[in-house]
Amino acid sequence: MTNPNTDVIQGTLDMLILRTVRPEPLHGYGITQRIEERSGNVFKVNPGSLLTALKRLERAGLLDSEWRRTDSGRRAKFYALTPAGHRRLVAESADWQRRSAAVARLLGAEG
Amino acid sequence: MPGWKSVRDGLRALLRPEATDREVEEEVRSFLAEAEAAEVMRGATPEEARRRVRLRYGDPLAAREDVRGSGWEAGVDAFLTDLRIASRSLRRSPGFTAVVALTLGLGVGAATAIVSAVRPVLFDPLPYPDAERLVSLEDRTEDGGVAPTTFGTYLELVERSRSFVSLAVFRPWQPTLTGTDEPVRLEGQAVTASYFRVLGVSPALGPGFDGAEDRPGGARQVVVDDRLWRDRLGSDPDVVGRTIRLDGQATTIVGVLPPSFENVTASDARIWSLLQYDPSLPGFDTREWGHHLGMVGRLGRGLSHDGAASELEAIASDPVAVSWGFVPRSGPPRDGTSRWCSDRGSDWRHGARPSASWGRPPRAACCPRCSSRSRDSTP
Repeated sequence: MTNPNTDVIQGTLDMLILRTVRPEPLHGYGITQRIEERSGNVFKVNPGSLLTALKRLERAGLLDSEWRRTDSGRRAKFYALTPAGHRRLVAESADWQRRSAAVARLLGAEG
Repeated sequence: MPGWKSVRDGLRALLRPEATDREVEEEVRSFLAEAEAAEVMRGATPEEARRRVRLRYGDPLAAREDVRGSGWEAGVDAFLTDLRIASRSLRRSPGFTAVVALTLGLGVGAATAIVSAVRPVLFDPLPYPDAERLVSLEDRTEDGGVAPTTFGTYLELVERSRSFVSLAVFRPWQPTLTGTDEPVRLEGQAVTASYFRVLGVSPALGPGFDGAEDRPGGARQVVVDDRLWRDRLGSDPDVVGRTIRLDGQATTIVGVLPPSFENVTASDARIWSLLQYDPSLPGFDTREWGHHLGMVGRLGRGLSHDGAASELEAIASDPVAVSWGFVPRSGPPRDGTSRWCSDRGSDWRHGARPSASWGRPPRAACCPRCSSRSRDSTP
C-alpha cells in the first residue's frame, strides 16, 4: 500500500455506486472493493460515507436493498439498481463525461 | 414514490431508533467482516486481517454515527435533543425560568391587548354598508385644532354641498326613563332625522324617524337599540307606537335597531331622539349656534374624499347668504363657543371653519386645512 489513497471526488460517489451495482447486486464491502480495484486503488471509500450514500440512494428510490447470505454464508445487505437508478446513472455518466472532457481539454491546453 | 419512502424511513428511524440503529450496526459489522474475510483470502491471519481492516477503514463506531447523522430525521432528532437539554437546564434554575416565563407572558399579553384594542379602531371597516363612503365632519379652529360643528354649518352644507347624498348632526342626550320598574337615566343622542340613513342602517322594527317631525314642536319620537328593547321594554314585538315617558314627557317609540347595530359616534348610546332644532335661525345666542354637534355624511357613490374636502374648502371660503336668511348678530356668542372665535367680537372670519375627516376615530380631522369659513360679519 505505497500509493496514497484519495477520497472519492466530491459528488461522484453516488454515480460510482450506481455504476458498480449495475451488472449485479452487491453488498457494501463488495461495492467498496470494486471501486477501489477498478480505480487502481486511487480512490478510497470508507464505510461511513459509503453506507450514508447507500441510505440516501435507497431513499431516493435509485437502489433497492435486501438482506441475503453471501457466498461465504454471512448475512449482508445487497443493493440492486432500480429502473429509476438506471436512468439516473445514464444521465449522470453523460454529464460527467462532458465535464471531465472539458476539464481535460483545459488542463491539456497549451499556454 | 421516493419522497414517500424517505418520509417513511425517517419516521421509522425517529419512532423506533433502536431497530434502525441495530440495522446500521449490523451492516457496518457485515462490511468489516467481509473486508476481514477478503484479507484472510489474501493470506493474512485473522488478527492481522482485523488490524489491517481497522487501519484502513477506521473506527466502526464512527461509521455508524456517520450513517445515523444523515437524512432529514437527524435534524429533527438534534432539535428534540436540544429541547430536552433546554428543558432540563430550565428545570435546574426555576427562578430564571419563572422570570423568563413571566416576561414572555407579559409581552405576549400586552401585544395581544394592544392589537385587540387597536384593530377595531384602525383596521376593521366601520360596521355599516359602504362604510368607505362615510365621512365625519368638524369645524377647524384658527389654530388648527378641531371643534364640534354648529347647526348653521350643517344647514349650509345641506344646502350647498353636492358631495354628500345625506348629512346628519348629533349631540349627546341623556333622558330619564320613568314609568317602568324604576327611573333610569339613559345614554342617548339627539340626532337629525337623517342620522340612520347616513349610516345606512334601518330599524329592525318600525319605520324609524319621520323627517317631518324634525322641527321645533314636532312630535316626540325615539328609536331604541336592541339591548334597551330587551332590558327595559320586555322585548315587546308591538313596541312600535307605544308611548314611554322620557324626562316626564310622553314620547312615541318609532323604531328598534337590529341587534348587530353598533353606534361608532357614541358607543354607549341606546336611545335616539330627533334634534328638532330651528332652522329659521333665531340668532347666535341660541344653542343651535354653539359648536356642540358631531356631523357625519355619506359621500355620493364614486366620489372621493379629496373631492369632498376641496368642495368643503370652496364652500368655506365663499360664504353665501343662503336661503334660510341667516343674519348673524354682533357680539360674542354665548355658552363657551367664544373659545372658537376671535376675541374681536363679531369677526367670525377668524372663527371655526368646517373640515372633513373619515374612518375611525370619527373625530380625527385629516383634511387639508380649509380656508376661512365666514359669513357676512357686518354688525
